[in-house]
Amino acid sequence: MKNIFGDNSDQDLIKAVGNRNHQAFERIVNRYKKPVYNFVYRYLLDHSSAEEVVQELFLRVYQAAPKYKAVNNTKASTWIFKIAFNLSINELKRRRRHLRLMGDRVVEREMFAETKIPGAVEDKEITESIMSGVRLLPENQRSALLLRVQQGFSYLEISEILNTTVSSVESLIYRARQRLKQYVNMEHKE
Amino acid sequence: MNCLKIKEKISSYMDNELDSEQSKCVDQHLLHCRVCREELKILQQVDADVKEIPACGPSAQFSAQLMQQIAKEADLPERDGFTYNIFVHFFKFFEKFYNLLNSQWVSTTATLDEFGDFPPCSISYIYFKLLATKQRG
Repeated sequence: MKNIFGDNSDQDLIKAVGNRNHQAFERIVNRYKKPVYNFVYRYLLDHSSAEEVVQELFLRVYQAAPKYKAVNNTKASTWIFKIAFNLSINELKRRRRHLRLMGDRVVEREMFAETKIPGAVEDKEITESIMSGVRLLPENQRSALLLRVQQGFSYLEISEILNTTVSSVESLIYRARQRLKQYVNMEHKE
Repeated sequence: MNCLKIKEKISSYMDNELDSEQSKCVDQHLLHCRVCREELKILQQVDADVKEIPACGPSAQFSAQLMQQIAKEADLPERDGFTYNIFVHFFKFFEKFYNLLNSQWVSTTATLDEFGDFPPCSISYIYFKLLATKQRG
């Protein structure tokens, strides 16, 4: 991953969190809350669920920090995004269970409709168009593309986060880009 | 490599995920093929547009709420693997059971006689037996 979070070692911070150092935890939160929220929000397309998931994520990080080094040797950023991805999947499963119980397509549209933050600045036309394109991508393609393009993870790191192989990450990103290209072309023609 | 193969590799090429040999192949092909160069340009534009999507963050109260939860968490006993995982479920169960026995709504519920079909010595049987005794008392 690109060094977008600064030079401080995440490993040392996580180790300190493991020793229940609250300042280190706050630094981890401040470092990751925005990129992780951004990823979870683009995956779930709902602000309130994204906030709940990110809160749960940091609680899990706090609880699991003492065991972090012992469990695996992955980079802290990959580890954090992996937990975020797993929690997001659980949230989607929960929603789908709820939808099956409700059996109402209207509810589905409401639940998956993108909520806007009050007072948020309106995006430019092109950004709106690409945002709709990203929203229409299948979940696995969307997550792989965002992890690559917005967060700068390598294919190997993405494969660890999404719990899949490098070659399927390659194919997911390829297909996501092709779909987006087609979508943007269609938008321009209309 | 022909254009079809190159187009399949172009996405990984953009991400520097090809090995040096494949990357050289794509480089050479791009020098001569205008169509593939165009494809690369379009995909790079798609990426640039995705990067342009405005970033959003959690609400202003997020950190404060989280630190409150963490403070609560810190007060809890250490959750050290095996012992915690074994006993926490028992504790939770008995806590709920105890709360049920002492709950206020019991006195306002309907007749208990209709709940007579639990197997003897099951928890439900004991529970309703206790309630019946309590009511009689």
